[in-house]
Amino acid sequence: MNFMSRYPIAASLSRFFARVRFGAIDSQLERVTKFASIGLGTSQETIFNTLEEYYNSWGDVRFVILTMDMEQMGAGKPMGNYRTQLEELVRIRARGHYANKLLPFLFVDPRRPEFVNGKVLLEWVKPWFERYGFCGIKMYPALGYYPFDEKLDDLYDWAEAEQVPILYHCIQGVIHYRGSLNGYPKPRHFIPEVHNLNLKEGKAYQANFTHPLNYHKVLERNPRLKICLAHYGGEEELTRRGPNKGAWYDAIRNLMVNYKNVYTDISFTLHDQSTFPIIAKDMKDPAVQQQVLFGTDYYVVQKDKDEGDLRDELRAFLNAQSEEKNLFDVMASENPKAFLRSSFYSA
Amino acid sequence: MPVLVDVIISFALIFLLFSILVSGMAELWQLIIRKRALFLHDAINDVFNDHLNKNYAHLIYTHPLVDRLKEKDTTYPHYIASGTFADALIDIIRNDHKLPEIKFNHERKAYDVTHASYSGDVQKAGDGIVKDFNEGIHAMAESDLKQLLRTVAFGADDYASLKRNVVQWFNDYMSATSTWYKRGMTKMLFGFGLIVALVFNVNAVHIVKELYDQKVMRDELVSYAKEYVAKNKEFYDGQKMQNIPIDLQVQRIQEAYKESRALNLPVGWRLKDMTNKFDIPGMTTDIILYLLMSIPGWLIAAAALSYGADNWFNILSRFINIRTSIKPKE
Repeated sequence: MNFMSRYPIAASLSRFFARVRFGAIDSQLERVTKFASIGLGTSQETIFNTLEEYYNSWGDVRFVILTMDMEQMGAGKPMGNYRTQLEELVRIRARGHYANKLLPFLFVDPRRPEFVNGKVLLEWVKPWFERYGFCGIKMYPALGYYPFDEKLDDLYDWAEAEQVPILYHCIQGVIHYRGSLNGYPKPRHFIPEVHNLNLKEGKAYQANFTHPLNYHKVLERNPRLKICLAHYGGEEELTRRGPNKGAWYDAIRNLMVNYKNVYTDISFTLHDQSTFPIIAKDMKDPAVQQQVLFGTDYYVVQKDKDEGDLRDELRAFLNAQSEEKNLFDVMASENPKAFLRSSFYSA
Repeated sequence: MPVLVDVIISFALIFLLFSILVSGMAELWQLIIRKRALFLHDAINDVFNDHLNKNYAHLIYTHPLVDRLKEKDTTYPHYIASGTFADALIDIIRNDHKLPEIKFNHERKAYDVTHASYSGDVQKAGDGIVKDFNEGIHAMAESDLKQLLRTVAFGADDYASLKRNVVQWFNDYMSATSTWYKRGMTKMLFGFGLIVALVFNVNAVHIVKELYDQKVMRDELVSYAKEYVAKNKEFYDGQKMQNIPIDLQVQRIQEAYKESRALNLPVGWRLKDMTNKFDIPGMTTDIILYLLMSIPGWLIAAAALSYGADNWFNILSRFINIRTSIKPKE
């Protein structure tokens, strides 16, 4: 719950460094200490209040909140279980002005022991939408499961019928399955060009779970399922600098061209300004223009760039690209409205 | 016999003075790392972080009654009154299964929030609260915590009796955990005792030997000890070392340090003490051997220093009384 409470010396140092100016390295230190002080000890409400301050002058701004269930990733038990997090979020939302400002997505992990089959999983999910105001599903396959896990079939059928959006983590990063891979089952849909089952380290193996080509299998079964492949594969993919040379970016883009219900977002990726020209090119391309969503990945991205800077730099760049349309508004307002629209929410 | 008594008195005085330093360091360190607050949190977390249900410890600490006790957002309170704890816990459990409902209104394009309702009367703390509390327990999955809460609720038929039960449980639990805390403190005191023993070369074996051999030193220390006891008796009678405010701790450390410097104590690092002790050529070897031979003395000193200044004061007073009662040889 409160890392800072457990290490008061670290807390004091963090506050000290946040105030001291170190010249050229000041901004880096400031961002890192801000990241630590935001994320490592405060409540969900305090974190949101810090974010909200960046948008005080922006009028009616709403925030998609992505819950995380990290209990099955093989890294031990978190301090507070997932249910505590969810109920706290519901109670926070019920206070003051939060109900309409916070749009929470429900994290689903098919490996939870209580989900003995897909029907039980779906029966657990539904009340969070029908009674407690959740408006989307969040998935993070990198934590150790495939998006086409058969336990998700009932959920996908329901989400497709209700047009509930599903957002998937789609970048290779530091949060991934940490448990043993010995005896990990072969995926139900084995894709040779994607699935290398000989990789023994979780850090490399996460590509098997996360690869965008996995979603062909999902969409073959549920072609109208509304999904977002978050992060657009990552900044290395957009600029073709990484080991995959842009293959993930191409795969996601290809899915968007072929399925109008497939979206992506630029959260976290936008901290690297070299991605701006590619993002702008897609925002001007009618084939995918209406399927790219704005996001920042607050507060994870705070260690790389400040929330306000991220938003302002991209907005300035995009708005300079087109005189007919306000591209930033398309990305941050029009497209999210379409993505979020379902039986449980409309804007 | 009088020599033995004088040695004990002198030994007790030396270790009393250094114990003040050790206790003070330990208290200051505890304050910096907020050890008591963390310990209290861990004790509550052990019982109330129920992985089969929810992390009720987190809910207790974020309940406004307890949250307001925090000095800063990022710290835990050092102390939670049992009544405050009881009120917070009862409120959490009675609310536990009553999440507010949040439903989207497509006409207004906005969410409607319906807050939970409570059974019985809300205005007076009657049996409605006990009923809600029991319903909250009933809605939990079976777990050790559920069983504990069920047991605590036995026989409670109104808010006052329910609160009394919770308060009683909390007080009993805090008594038990304070024993664990003291055990942990002893380890910390030993650690600081070892640091002081090494920094100031407080070697218990060497000190005893010197006290036996050096009558002048012994007499001086005994005389000083009598004055010290007379001057400080009231302080040690009325105060527990744990409750001394920081500024007084620092003052006592400063005084103890000054007093130890003023007296000719058999402590400290002196090259002449470390060399030419053994019949081996070479200063480096001498020093290494000196250090190795000092290890048992330092460890005994560390243990002695962790005993606590108030305990050493009691020993000092007792042996001064014994010395006073020993008839001089005719």
